[in-house]
Amino acid sequence: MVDPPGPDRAPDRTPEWPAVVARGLMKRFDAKVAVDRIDLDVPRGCFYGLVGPNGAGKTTSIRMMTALLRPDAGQVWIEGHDVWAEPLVVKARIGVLPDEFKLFDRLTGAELLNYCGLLRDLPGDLVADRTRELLDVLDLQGAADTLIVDYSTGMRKKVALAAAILHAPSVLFLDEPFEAVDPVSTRAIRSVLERFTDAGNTVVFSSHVMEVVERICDRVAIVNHGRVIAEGAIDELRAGRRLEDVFVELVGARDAGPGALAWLDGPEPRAADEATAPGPGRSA
Amino acid sequence: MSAADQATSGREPSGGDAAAPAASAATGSGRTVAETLVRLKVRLIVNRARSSKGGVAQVVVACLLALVVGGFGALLAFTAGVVHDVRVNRDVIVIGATAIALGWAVLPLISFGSDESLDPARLVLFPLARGPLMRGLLATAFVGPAPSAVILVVFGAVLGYATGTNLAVAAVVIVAAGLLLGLSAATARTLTTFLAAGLSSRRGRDAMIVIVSLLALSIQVLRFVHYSVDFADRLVAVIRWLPPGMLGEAIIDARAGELGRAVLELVPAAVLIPLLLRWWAGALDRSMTVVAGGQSPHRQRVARDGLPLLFTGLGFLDRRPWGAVTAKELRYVVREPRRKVTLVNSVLIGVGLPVWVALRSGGDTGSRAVLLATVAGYIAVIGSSNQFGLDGPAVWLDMVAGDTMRSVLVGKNVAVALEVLPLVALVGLGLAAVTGGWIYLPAAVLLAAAGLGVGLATANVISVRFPIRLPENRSPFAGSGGGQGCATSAILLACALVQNLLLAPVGIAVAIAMFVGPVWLLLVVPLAAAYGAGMWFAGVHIATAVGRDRLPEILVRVDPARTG
Repeated sequence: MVDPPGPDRAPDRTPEWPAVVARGLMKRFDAKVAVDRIDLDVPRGCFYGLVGPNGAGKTTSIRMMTALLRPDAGQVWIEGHDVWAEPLVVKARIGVLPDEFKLFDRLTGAELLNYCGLLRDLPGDLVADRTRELLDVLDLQGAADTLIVDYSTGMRKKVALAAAILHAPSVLFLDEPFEAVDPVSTRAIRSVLERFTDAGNTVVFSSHVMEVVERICDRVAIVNHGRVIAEGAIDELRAGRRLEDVFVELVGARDAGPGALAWLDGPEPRAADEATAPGPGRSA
Repeated sequence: MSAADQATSGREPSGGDAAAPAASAATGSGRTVAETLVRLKVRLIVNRARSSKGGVAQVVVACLLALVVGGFGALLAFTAGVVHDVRVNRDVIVIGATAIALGWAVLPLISFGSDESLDPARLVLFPLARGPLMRGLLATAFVGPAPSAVILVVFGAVLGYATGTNLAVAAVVIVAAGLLLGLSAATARTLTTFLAAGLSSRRGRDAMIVIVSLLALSIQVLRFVHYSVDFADRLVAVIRWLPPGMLGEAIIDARAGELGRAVLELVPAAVLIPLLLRWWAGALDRSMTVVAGGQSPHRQRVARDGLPLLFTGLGFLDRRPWGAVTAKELRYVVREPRRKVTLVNSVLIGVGLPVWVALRSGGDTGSRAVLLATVAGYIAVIGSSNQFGLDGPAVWLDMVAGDTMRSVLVGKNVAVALEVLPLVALVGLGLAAVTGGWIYLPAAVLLAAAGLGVGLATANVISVRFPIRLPENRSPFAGSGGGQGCATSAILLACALVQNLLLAPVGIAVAIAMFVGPVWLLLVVPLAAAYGAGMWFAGVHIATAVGRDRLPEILVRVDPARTG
C-alpha cells in the first residue's frame, strides 16, 4: 500500500504514488474561506467523485489541483510530481475540463482539437488522427466544421473533453462534466471516461448528479464548507443506502415545514395574492 | 400615448381570465405597468452600479457627463435661440433636432444587451397586455443619464426659442419639442424591436458590432469636413425636409410670423409617431413570439484528408506551437467581430492617413510620402498592451498545455505582423506608384517592421505584468480597454508612452537622415531594423520569463466573471 506523505514531509517519487495527493489545500476569497485545508488521496486507475452542495469548494479545489488557481496554502502532487514545483511534468500528465469554462469558440471543433494538440507540440499527423477519432467517438463529426460558439452545452462539454484527453493524459480532472448535458451526450461522455479508466488511468470529477456518481465512481469524497466531511469507497460510504440519502444526511438539508407555500393549495384571499403575485418589478 | 391605445385596440389578450392577472399584477400594488417598468429601469441602473468594483464610479461619471453635456447643450441651444440671426437660429435648431432624433435611434442599438429593459423578449413570460407594455417601454425610454441629457438640451432650446415671442409661437415651440422627443423615442423603440430578433442571435450581434463600429468610425470622416456657416446652410437645406428637421423649421417659421406654415410643418412628425407605434406594435408581437436562430452556415473548407483543420488555407505557417497560435489568431481576425473591427480600423487609418497627409501637403512631400506607409504599423501597435484580454478566460486552454507562454506570445506577434506588414507594403506600393518614390519602399517596410518589433516587445511585457480584462458581450466600443476605468486607462497610457519613448530614437534618426540626405537612410534603416528585432527578442524573453510564473494570476485578471 502506498504511503502518502504527511503535510511536512517531502514526497518520495515512486511509481507506487497515488494519482493525486493533496495536503492542507486552502484558498480564501476576501473574507470567505472557499477551501479549508483539504487532504485527498486518489488511487491510480480510480474513478473518483468529488460531491458537495453549491459553494462547497469543489471547483476551487479542482482549479488548485490543476495549476489554474494558486492556493494560499497546501500542496498537490500528481503521480508524485509537485504541481507548483514541476508544472510542466504535471501538465503533460493531466487533462482538464473546468466548470464554466470558455473555449476559443471562434474555432470549429476540429480546429480547436488541432490547436490543443499542436500547442502541446504533438506531431501534426498524430493530432489529425486523434482529432478525427475523438470527433467520431463523441458523435461530433457532423459538427466538426461548425464554430464552437454555435455549439449546444452538451457539444461544448464533449469537445472540451476531447481537448482534455487528446494528449493521452493519465489523470483527468473534470468539473461538472454532466451538468446541463442531455442523456445522449452523457452516455457518450461516460463511455469515453470508462474506456479511459479501463486503461489504468484516473478520473477525478465533481458532480451534483448522484445517480451518475453512484453508478460510475469507485470512491467518493463529500465536500461541504470547504472541508472533506466523508471519504471512502462508494459501497462503504453508502452502507446499503442511496448515495443521495447519505449525502443529504451528511450535508444537512433544511425542511421548510408543512405550512410553507400553503397558497399553492388553492385560491386564497386577495391579500395573499398581492403578496406573491408575479410582476415585472419583482423580476429585477 | 393615445396612439399606443389606438394601435392596440381590439388586440388585448383574448380571454378575460388571462387578462385579469395582468391587471392585478400591475395594479395589485397600486402601480401601472409603466410605473413598474420605470422603477425596474432605475433598479437596473442602481444594480449595475453595485454589481462590480468601480460600478458606482461608472454610473456617477455617466450621470455627471450627462449633466455636463446636457447643460452645455442646453446653454448652446438657449443661446442659439436668443441671438438675433435667423441663419444661426435655423442652422442650430434644424441640425440639432435631426441629430437628436438620429442619435436617439442609434444609441439603443449600441447599448442593447446591457440595458435589459429594452429587450421585450425578457418580459415575454409576464401576462402583460400590449398597450400598457408599449406605454411602459416608451416611458422607460426617457429614464437614464443619456435621455436626461437630451431632455435638458430640448428644454434649453424651448426656453431660448420661446423667449420674447408671443403665446402662439411659444405653443409651436413647445409642441415641436414634445413631438421631437416622442418621435425620437418611438423611432428608437421601433428600430430596436425590429432588430431584436437579429440582435438576439449570435450572428446578428456579430454583424451589428461591425456595422455600429463602422458607423462610429465613419463619424471620424466629420473631422475632415471643412466646417463653415455655408456648410451648415447646405446641410440644413437638405435635412429640413426630414420630419425632425421640419420640426426645427416650424419653430423658425413661427418666429417669422408664418404660423400656418409652421403648423403644417408639425404635421409629418405628428403623423409619423402613430405610424411608428403601429409598426412597433406589430414588431413587438413578432419579437415576443418568434425565436431567433443562431447557427452558423456549414463551412466548406475541407483539408486533403477530409477534415477541416487549423492550417487549412494557411499552409505557409510552421506546424509548431507558435504556428498554431498564429493560425488561431488569423482565424479570429476574420471571425471575431471585435478583432474584425480592429483590423478595419487599422486598414482605414493606415490607408487614409497617409493619403490625407499626402493630399494636404499638395505634393510637397514628394517621393518621401512613401515613408508614410509606416503609419499602419504604428497604429497597429500603439497601446496594444492587451495580448490576453480578447482571449479572456479561454486562456486556460493555453495554460494547461504546458510551457506555452513563449509560443503564445510569438504566435500572436507573428499574426499581427502578417496582418500589418502586407498592408504597409500595399500602401507603400500605392504611394510609390503615385509619387515615383520606389526607393523608399523597402525602407518603409523595414521601418514598419522595426516599429512592430519595439511596440510588440513593450506590449508583451505589459500584457503579462498587467493583463487587462475585457467585458464579454459588451457594446462594440469595448475595444482593447474601453470602459475599464482609470487603472486600465493608466496601463494603456503607460504602454503607449513607453512604446513612443522606445520608438523615438528611430523616429529622430530617420528625421535627421531625411534632413541631411536620404542616402543616410541606407545606414539608419538597417540599424533601425536591427534595433527593432533586438527589442522584440528581448521583449519576448522578458515577457516569457515573467509570464511563466504568473499564469494563474493572468487567468484571474482576464476573466470578466471574476472581480479579483
